[in-house]
This record gives sequence, structure tokens and C-alpha cells, in this order.
Amino acid sequence: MSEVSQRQKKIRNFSIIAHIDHGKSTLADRLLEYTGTLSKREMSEQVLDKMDLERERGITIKAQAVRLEYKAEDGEVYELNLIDTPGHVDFTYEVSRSLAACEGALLVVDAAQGIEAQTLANVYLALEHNLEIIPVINKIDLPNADPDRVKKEIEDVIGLDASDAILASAKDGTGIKDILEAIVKKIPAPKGSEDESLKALIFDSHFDPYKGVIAYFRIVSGRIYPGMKIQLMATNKQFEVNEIGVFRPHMVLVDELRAGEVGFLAAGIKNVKNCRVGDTITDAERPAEEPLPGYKKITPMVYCGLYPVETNDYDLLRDALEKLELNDASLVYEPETSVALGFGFRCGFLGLLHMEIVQERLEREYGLSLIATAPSVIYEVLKKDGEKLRIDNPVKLPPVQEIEAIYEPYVEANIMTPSNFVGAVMELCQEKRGEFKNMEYLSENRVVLIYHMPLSEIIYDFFDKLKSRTKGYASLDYQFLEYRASNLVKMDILLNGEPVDALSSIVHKDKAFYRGRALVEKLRSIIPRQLFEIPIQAAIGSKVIARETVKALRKDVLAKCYGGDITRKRKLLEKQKEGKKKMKQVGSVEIPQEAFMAVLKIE
Amino acid sequence: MEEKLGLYIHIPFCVSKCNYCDFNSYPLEQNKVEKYLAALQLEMASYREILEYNMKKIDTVYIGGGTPTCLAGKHLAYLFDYCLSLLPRKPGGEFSLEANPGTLDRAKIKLLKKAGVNRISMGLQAWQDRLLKGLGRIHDLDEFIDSYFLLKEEGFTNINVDLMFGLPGQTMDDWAESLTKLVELNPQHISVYSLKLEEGTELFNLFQQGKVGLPSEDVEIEMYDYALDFLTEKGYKQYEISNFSLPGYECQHNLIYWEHQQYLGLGAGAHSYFNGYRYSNYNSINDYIFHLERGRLPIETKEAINLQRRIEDTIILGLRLNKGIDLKELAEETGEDLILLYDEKLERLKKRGLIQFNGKNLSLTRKGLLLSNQVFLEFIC
Repeated sequence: MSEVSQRQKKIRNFSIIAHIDHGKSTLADRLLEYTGTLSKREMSEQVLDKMDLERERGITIKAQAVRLEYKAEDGEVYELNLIDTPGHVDFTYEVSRSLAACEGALLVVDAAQGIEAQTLANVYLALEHNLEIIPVINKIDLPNADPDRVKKEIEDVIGLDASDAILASAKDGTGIKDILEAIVKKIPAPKGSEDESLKALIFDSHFDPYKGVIAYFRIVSGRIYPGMKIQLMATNKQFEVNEIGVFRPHMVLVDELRAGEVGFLAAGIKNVKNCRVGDTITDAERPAEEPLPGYKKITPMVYCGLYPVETNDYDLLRDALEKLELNDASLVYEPETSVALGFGFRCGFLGLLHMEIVQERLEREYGLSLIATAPSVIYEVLKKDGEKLRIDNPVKLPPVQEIEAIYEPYVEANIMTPSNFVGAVMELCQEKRGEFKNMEYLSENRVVLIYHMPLSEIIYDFFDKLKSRTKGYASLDYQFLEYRASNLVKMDILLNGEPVDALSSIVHKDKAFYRGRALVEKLRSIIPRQLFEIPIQAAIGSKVIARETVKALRKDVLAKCYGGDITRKRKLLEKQKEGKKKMKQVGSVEIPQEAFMAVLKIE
Repeated sequence: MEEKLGLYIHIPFCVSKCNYCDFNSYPLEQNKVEKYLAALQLEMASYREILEYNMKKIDTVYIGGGTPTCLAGKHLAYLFDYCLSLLPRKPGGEFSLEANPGTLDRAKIKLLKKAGVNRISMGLQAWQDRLLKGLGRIHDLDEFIDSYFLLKEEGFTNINVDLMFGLPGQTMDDWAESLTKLVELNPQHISVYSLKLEEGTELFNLFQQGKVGLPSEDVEIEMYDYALDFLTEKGYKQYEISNFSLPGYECQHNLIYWEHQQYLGLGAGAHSYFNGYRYSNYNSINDYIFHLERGRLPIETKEAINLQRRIEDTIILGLRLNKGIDLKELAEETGEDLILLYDEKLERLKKRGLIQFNGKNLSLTRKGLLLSNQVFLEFIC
């Protein structure tokens, strides 16, 4: 790489790595405030988290970039680009691209809680990209803050020198100036010649209804300006740049951006799928020979069916998914039909959180009432005739006699836990078909356990269980490992003798009996009594492995109904009717929505 | 159907509240009673004008509560002579009053008789003193029997007695005894209600805390079935889900509700259905008095009943009656093709054995009585 130019000497590109709740957003706010990028008055709390959902869940989903101008102690004014990163395992790839756009990162650790698994995973990612890491111990104002212990943990666990870790409290503003000075002094300035061909890394994008896709990028070499013809190297699509600009944090247009800088562009790109995170933007007239490393086409890990409660809302659901997709390149969907639920969509997500977010957005922003089927991973099936299938829906599994082998995705799970819960965590991992790989004491009382386990077990209820068995202290990170052959079978559920396709699941044979038992019991408690008796059966093939019965409703009557009761009793009936309407009629049985997720919630 | 108008008057006072009761009632205070009656008089005067303007007269009167008979004689006299007398009534109509066995004496009964009350409704609830105690009733069995014979002696020939089943600690034998013994007294009318735990009542809380147990649903159903068979055998005809009478003694006032005729409700918390509106008075005695003293009707909620709603309510209420409802007549009256509208639903309900059709009227089957809400739901939009 070339020399750092005079201009680049005053640029610093950095991210913040932090666990959920460790105060990243508040810290970002303080940095904006301190540098005058936004006045206190302008700041609605936590500027970087845009969506309501993110704020509610305290999780950053969409990465963003903000340019700060900081007059340092040396008297120079520096351009600091803060590239925000998502903080959840579902979005690991997005994090890696954001980190690849930086030269350094602030590692923010809660002074009371210490390092968590997700933080660790992201620090390793940052180290892989040779980022300069500045440890910040946040929330030192807390009464139970123990910065010395956290410092030691940073040194022991990550192997970073934490002797000059900055002690901060984003809440009361302590240490903000020290952080800004450390960014200027420690993080290297970007390199890269502005005369070479353009190479810019896309680390995020969003869809604007007027301008099309807004791509967020970091220029590694070359320059970019409005009117320029660009090419996206992974998709080979060409566009003409309409405008470019920077976030301060509002969008401000500029005439040109050069190597080392961070900004956005609009080029009349109609679909985020043409502008993928990790892709390289180059000059269409003078293309770079090689794209930047690290691009991956990310594929969904978890699938579920989404169906409108009201059959008539199918078109609304399709429109809503089309709109969401504009903003979310990792969401995939295709139409599917279920005997039980009618017309809907099979949707693919990066993980469970991503799935929940999409569902909630569909319900909240588009006013839809949805039924979600239990999530499933993708199984690979080798048929006896040699054909290979990818199964994203249990219903699509071929008949047993045609199957040679079924393969399921395994992940490597890193679980960080206080050492007194090691036994409980190991027991849980065993229950979940985990294969023990390694255990390491990070400090006297913190342990990281490494297991290989089926992804299906993780999406089942692993995380909830992990949290409950460790009183909320354990944290989890995982990544895809490989497909492995497993002894799997399809378990069907029959209501009133009729199979309900949307309740089918693929389970490990050794667990089928137990799961079947638990599921029919759960369904019995969820399905309300109706005018006739409803047998609930779990079956593998034609063999029934568990059975429960919802007894017929015998009494549903209001004994007294006189003049003063009519309005009140009618309201009760209306409420009852409302509840009935929310249920899905399958054959003659009315099934509440939550029944379709019951597969997940059984004990 | 001949148009009728009922009048309900609410007396929101009780000696003490029963532990299952969530009705609008207050402890008895003389000073409050007088203010309340004065307000009631104002409300009567307003309705006198309304009725005269509409050229309408009252068919039936029903005074309920609370406990109307807990009022002192002079207050009852005031109610009859200075309040009720203001409203135009058709002669010879049913005039019911709710009485609590613990609050009746001969003088009071004479006064009721003189005022023209011709039907008494008494809450007995159970024949067993231990069950009465468990409900927080102020009377025991003996007091009920005394009151009952006093009423008969003074010439009351139309008496209703309420019984309840599904009570805490009640057995099937208790229930059979209650019915048998009551029928021996030969009242003209019997109402049987299943106890419903209402949120916020003392009994509800006791149940929540596990301090009282209730009979299972199966036992409750058995009790209801038993009552149906037993009372029918003894000559009482069921004419509504919870109501039985000797022939010709159906409660005319209550029939007005179920036939979806008009009624006026006066007093705190009372409900009316009049001129296309359902509305209700303020529950609180103070609010009720406050508004009347300032020359306003004390109406708290008001709802217009459109045609669709009227049809639905007419069906839902009408189906409570054993005679059921004449859908063709209702269709002609409303100009809506109800058969077409409900055809599919009717078929489904018929197939499930919940309703029946005798060529003229649609009604609940015996199975449908206990599942009536499931039937009503089909008629709600």
C-alpha cells in the first residue's frame, strides 16, 4: 500500500465493539455531543439506533456511519468516522464488513459485568482485520463497578494490554475526551492512494423511496464523485452515481470522496440485493483488477412460514415483504401453500432475532396479523436415487423409504459462563446433542465452553434455557460449522385425525417420543375446548407416538341476562368472538395462533 | 308483537353485601336514602314528561336492587306515593319487587300490598344454612320460611324464589334437597342460577387464595340437568335458560327484556332501552344525585342501536326463551332476509344439535341451553 497522504493523516475510521447493554449507544451519543456534531437539544436519545424496534430491544441492527470533527489537543482538526456495528450473533457478517472498513475499534466493556461471548467474538473479528483496539471500561459510575477485575479479564481473555484502558461513564460524560484523544493518537490513519482505481467497500445500505438504495461505503483507494460510472464487482451491475455525501449525522452532500474516507452514495439502485454488503464498488471505466477480500453471499440459516390470519390479507403481506426486502438484503421469501394455513410465504432469516424483528415489523409497521410456523433450519437430504434436496420446510421431506441420508447443519458454539454454572451449561449442551470440544478458564471465575451442536437445537430453545440455567449470566456466540448426517425423522401432528402440515417438524429419532409427548400436551393446553372432542396425536409415518384429547365443551352460558346485563354480556360475547376470529380454522378445529409456535416452547 | 314498555327502579342499598355480589349496592344509611329518593323523584318527573310527550304508558314495574325491602316503611311509602305515582301506568300490570327474607315484617308486607305490588321475588339461594353463611347472606332458612308464609298470609299469590347451584361446598344432595323442599312450598316461580365468580368480589378473592373450593364443571352440569328434570316433573315449565314457572306465571317484566321490548331504568346504575338507544345511569349514588339536582338526566353511557345490532340482540335475547324466536316475523319487521343471512350458521348449529326449528320458531335444544354462548357467538358480527 501507498504512503499516507497529508489529507489522510487527519482521518480516523473506527467502530465500537460492545455487548448489548454495555452502553455503546450512549457512548456514541456522548461522542457526537462532545464534538458538537449534534447539540444536546438536537439529540433525541441515542441517535445511532434508528428503528423503534432497535431501541426497544437495545440492539443495533443496521450499521451506520457518522462523521465527527474533533479539534484535538495538538490543535489539529480531525475527521473521525464512527462506523456503528450490530451487536447480535445473527449479524456477524455485517459486523465483519463494518470492521473491515475501519483501522481501529473501541472495545467497550461494562465495568460491572465484564466481557461477554458476543464481545469476544467481535474482538477476534477485529483482531483478524488488524484493527487497533482501545479498551474502554464503561459505567464506572456504577456502585458495583470493578474496573481492575475487568482490566485483568481483558488482558487474560483477549491478551490485550489493558493497563491504559480508559475509564469512562458514557452516562455522566467521564472519559469522553480521553477516548477522543486515544482515537486520534492510537488508531492509524487510513492508507491507500487516491490515484489508483476506485475500490470501495460497501458495509451497509438502506432503501430510500425517492433515491433508491443508499450504499454506505469506505474508500480503500481511488476517488468517487457524482456523475461517475461505477460497477459493483460481485453483481457486475453498473450504475451512475447521482449523489455522494457524508453523515453528520444527517446526510450532507459533498462533491467528492477520496481514499480513506467514509460516506454514502445514491445511484438509482432499485434493490438492495444489487448492492450487497461486502461488495466492492469500482470505476466502471477503469475497474480494479481484484475486488476487496471477504465478500460472502450470506444465506439464511433459519426458515419459517408466515401466513396472514385473515386469508384476504395475503396481498398485503406480499406487498409488505416486498417493501421490507428493499431494506433488508438478507431477507428471502417465496410463496408457499399450507393445507392448514392457506396461502403464505416461506421466509428465510439470518437467525432467530432477525426472524422476530421481521415478524414484528410486519405486524407493527404494516398492521398485519400473522401466524408464524415454528422455525426450521435447512436440512440436506440425499435420496436413494442420488438426488440431493435442500429442505427448508418439514413438509417437503420425501417419504422415508426414498431417503438415503439426512444431513443437518452443525455450529460451533462458544458459551461464556461464570464457572459455578459450568456443570449446568454442560448438562444443557449434552441434552441438546452437543459435542464437547474445549473448555478454557478465562479467569478464576469465568469459563468459555466450546461445543459442536446442531443448529436446530440452538433455534429450538437453547438460548432461553441457557439464560435461565445460568441466571442470565451466560452468553452465546456461534458460527456455522458443517453439515452432518443425523438420524432424523419427520413428526406429524394430527388434530381430529387430520394431519396439520404447519405443525410438522423434523426431530432427532432419539428425541421423537419425548418431543411428541411434550408437544401434544402443550397443544392440549393451548387449544380451547370446542363443541366436540378433539384427539391430538403425534405420529411418525403411520405410527402414533403420543396422544391427548381436548374434551368437548359442555358449558358456556350466562345464567343471568336482564335489562342491566345486556350491554355488559354482549361485550363479553364480542370479546369471545374476537378471540375466535384470531384462531385459524383447520378442518373443523379452531387453532389459536400460538399453537403453531408451540413446537418451540415445549419443556 | 304488541309493543310493551317496562319500568325498572333500582334501589342500591343493602344491609350488607353478599360475598359473591358485584351489583351496584351501598350500605344502608338513612340520610343517603332520603337524598337518593329525592333524586329519584326528580328523575321520575323528567320521565313523566318524556312519556307524556311520547304518549306512552308503563306496562310492568320491577323494583330491584340492592335490597328494596331494606328501606324503612316511610321510605318505601315515599317511593310509591311520591315517586312511582308520577309515571303513567296501564292498569292491572305486573308490579314486582325484590325482597330479602331478612328484611320483611308484616307491616312492610301490608304496605307493599297496599301500594299495588303483585309479585314478590325472594332470594333464598340454598336450603342449607351452612351454604347461606358461606355466601354471606343476612338471613337463614327459618327467616325465609317465615317471610314466605307472611307473604302468603297477606295475600301474595305470585312469588318467585331464587336458588343457586355451583356454590362453594354445595353437594348434589344439597341441591336436590333445596329443590325438593322449595317445591313443597309451591311458589309460582323459581329461578335457578349457576354461581358466577365475578372479579373483585370477596368470594372471587377467597377462591383465588384457595380458601374455598367450587364444585367441578361436571357437577354443575349435573345440577342444572337435575333441576330441569325435577322442576318439569313438578309442573314448572322452563321458559328461559334460568327461569321456571307454573303456567301463566312467567315474569312479564323480564319477558320484556328477552323479547327485546323497550324499558326504562331509573335509579343509580339502571339501564334503559328506549327510542333506539341503550343507555345507563351513573353507578355512583353521588354522581346520580349530583346530575339530577342540577336538572340533568344522570346518563353516563349511551349507545345507538342500529338495525344490524337490533337484529342481533333480538336473536340473542330471544333464544334465551324456550319458545325461541320467529325469524320470519323478525325478517318481515326489519326488512332483512335473515334466513339467507344466517342460513349456513343455522345449518351448522342444527347439525351440532344446539338449535331446533319447529316450523315457526327457532330455539335452543336442551344441549344448546348450556352452550348458548356458542350459539349466540354465531349471530354476532
